[in-house]
Amino acid sequence: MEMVPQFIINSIIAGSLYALVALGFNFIYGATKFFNLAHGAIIIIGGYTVYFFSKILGWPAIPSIIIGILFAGLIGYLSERFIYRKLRARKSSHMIMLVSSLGILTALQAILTILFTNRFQTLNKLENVNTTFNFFGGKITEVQIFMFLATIIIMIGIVILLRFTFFGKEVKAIDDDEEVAKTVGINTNYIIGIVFFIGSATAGLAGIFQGYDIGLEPTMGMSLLLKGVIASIIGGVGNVYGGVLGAFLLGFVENFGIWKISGEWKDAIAFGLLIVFLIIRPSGIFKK
Amino acid sequence: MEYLIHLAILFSIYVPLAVSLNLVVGYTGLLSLTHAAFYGIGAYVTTLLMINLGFGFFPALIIGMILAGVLAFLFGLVLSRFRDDYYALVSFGFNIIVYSILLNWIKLTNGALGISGIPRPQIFGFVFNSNFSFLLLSLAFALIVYLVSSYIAHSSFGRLLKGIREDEKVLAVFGYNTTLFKLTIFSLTATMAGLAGGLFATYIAFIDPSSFSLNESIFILVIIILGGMANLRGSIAGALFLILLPEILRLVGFPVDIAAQMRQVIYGVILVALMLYRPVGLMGEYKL
Amino acid sequence: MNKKTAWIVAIVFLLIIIVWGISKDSQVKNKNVIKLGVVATMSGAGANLGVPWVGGMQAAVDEINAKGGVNGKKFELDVQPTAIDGAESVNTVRYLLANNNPDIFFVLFQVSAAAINPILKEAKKPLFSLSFSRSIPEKNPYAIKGNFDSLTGCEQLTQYTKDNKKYKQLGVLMSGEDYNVKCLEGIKKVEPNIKEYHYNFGQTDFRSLLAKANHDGVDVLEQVAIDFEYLAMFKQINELGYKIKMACNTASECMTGQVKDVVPAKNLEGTMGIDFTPINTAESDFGKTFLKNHPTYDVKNLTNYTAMGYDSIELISKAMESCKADDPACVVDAITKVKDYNSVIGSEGFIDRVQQFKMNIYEYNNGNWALKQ
Repeated sequence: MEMVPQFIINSIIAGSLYALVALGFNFIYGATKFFNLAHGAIIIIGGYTVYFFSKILGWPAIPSIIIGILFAGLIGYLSERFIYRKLRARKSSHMIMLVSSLGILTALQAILTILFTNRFQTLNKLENVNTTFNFFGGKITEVQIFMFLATIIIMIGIVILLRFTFFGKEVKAIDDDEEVAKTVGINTNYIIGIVFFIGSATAGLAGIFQGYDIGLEPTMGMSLLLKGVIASIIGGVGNVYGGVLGAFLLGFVENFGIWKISGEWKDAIAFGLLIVFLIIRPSGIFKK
Repeated sequence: MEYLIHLAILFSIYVPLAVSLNLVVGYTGLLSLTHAAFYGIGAYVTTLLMINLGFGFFPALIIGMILAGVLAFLFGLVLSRFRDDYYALVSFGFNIIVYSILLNWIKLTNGALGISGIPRPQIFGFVFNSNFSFLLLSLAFALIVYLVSSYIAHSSFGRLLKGIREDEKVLAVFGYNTTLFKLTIFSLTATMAGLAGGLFATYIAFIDPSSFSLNESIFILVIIILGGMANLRGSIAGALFLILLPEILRLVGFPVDIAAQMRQVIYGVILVALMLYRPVGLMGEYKL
Repeated sequence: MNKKTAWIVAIVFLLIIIVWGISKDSQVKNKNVIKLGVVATMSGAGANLGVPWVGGMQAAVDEINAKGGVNGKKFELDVQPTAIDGAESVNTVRYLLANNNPDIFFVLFQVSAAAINPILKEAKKPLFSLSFSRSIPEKNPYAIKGNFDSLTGCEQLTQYTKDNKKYKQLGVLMSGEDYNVKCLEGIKKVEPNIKEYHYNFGQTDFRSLLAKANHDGVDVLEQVAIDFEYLAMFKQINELGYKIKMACNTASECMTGQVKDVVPAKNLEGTMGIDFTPINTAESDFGKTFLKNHPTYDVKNLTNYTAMGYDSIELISKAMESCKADDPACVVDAITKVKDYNSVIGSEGFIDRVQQFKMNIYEYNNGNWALKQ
């Protein structure tokens, strides 16, 4: 059974990626209570920004990555500032916001395809090819270790932000009731803008890791988003720990699932898991 | 002229799809994103019965419709626990599962290779070989579906559906079995989508899973949102517009390498613009 | 906008379309041109094959037209960008038939080809299909197949690996696409003892499947895959440190520049491949001549598919010397019987309207494909 350590590592790798997506998504959902589908495009925007700077312009990796994260955050912020905020001001229903985020996702994905074609791109250059480490009988690369660490750090960071800072209290207030928060004097638009920025930046980081670990394609965003959403729902939407736990659970089920079931059913397994959870425990593992 | 007939046939296939989805989304307020799954079931069942078992078109079509309805009933049972965003997400999931099955159950569906050589419908020895005769057939079906839907919409059942959309809890308090109504309309509209699927299969004479993916469900949703929620004539207008849109884009003559993506950008922009400036759609009466 | 306005907009719209439709029908036909209709994807999935392919065809058309055309008639290439989708391909073909009415049709992918095959059969238009599957010419007497034949190709590569004892346990890591289904059929003719690992097309995380293969003792993986799939496979095999070699159908698809970006050359040693097209197209004789004649052509789009597109036009131009464009039976017959034309991809004629090629087996050594057989 010497496959098992590798399976475990593979599950953790997949889980980390999904967790990064879920973290950003959950953070935004927590404050605005709507499923931002455009999140999927922002993941890929982060990756492609790094591609543009590091491969097309030839900049070194670190500055490209920083710009990638910031740019993804910016796009998220702009979509909130110019579209979602207007809709919220009119008390639009969540479904209207969902559909508009769907529109943004569709358009952004297509624009990325026009700019970068549908060709699969990796962010790696031979000089910084992923070094591999042995770990209890399985292999893991540098990039994958960073991805895992980033997940943990961001998760803890968000928890600290929400629990121990004034900002976090303001976010919680908005989450409870936006109207009341306004009357108490909280600048809800400003806070929500920052939430979108942070959540989207995290999404961008996920895309960047994806680019270094495997590669990028404009249409990947949607499927990564769906995995993140499944993870969030299983773990408990809006709950920071929940999204991460759900993500790792999903990673495990997907990877161990193909042990016995043929690999083509991977997506169906993921959604099947979602539906099973929704039937048995719709609020997810952790309540909000 | 031949080409106009072709476009007209496509239009008459999308009318039942749009009108039926509008009953679910516009009248009942359920944001279903799995309509393409029923479209696909109708197409595949009709096809397999015709090709493998030698059924005639009309019996095969009816069985296809019934199976689509049965599947919808089962999905509906699970979906009935959810509202709004969750409803949309789980329906997403169902679409993906059905698509996955169509793609991977190769022994049955031939997977990505698709099934070709689907014969045209026959009745009392007359074969609908010419496209013009097929157009008459599909228009007849479209008309029937429209009339049935219109009848439902203006009946007391229709009023109940609108009531569910506006305030389901109140209706339940008054003793109405809202779950049963939702299941009924969901299954009924699925049979209509199945009808469109059977027609599609015999017209194009070739089907493969890619025509029944999530993108298709989103396309049908765009049609009804554009045309107007809870307005069936609006859905017809929406279908007309979106079938003709690619042709107009052909006229405009985008550079050959970005035409398809520009369509997607336009769909996305339409969605966002509609949500921002006219959420009821062109002729609708109700906001999502 | 109120309802009345909406109705007016809709009706005006409809009128525009009808007028346009009628005007198209009355277009004057130009008898002095041989029209080629191309159903290709130029953006979106598959564009990395479609764009070079069309580029090659256009270049050949330009060259032939510059020399005066065929029997005084020039070629006209009508490219309709179409997604790899059955219904859309049907749309495109119906549009082409109604408007430009091309004399010969070209298509690249199986799904598109299968969808349009019956329509073109009925319309009696020659169809040159570059999908990997023989079912197209089998079902349509006016259809011809070019490009790699995964059934015979995979069989040949497997025979080579078996004869040269390249593996102890053969495995296949495949998506469910049709070219792979046929490839597996071909492989099993030579080696029935094969381990199968399936995934859904679009997936790029093969780590657990590779772990399974490694556990099962697989030391050679053979399949048909697209460049990004090969890229992921090579990278992950390298990272996981497994001693698994790849056997590629086709060689040019699997060792793209990107692979060399992520896997050190020494770990690519011994990769096997089969192909007929000019590998390393830009450095091949064809590629060099091509760039000399078309200096503004974007080298990124110069791949073996460029060679294929170029070759098809040369082939057809030779065939059309003895046929009228509106005689489909003659055209198809002539194409399949063309001898000694300027083939850049080693064409050896047709059998049952399926193009035959001299297949070469390569092994990757010292950073390059070395011809073995």
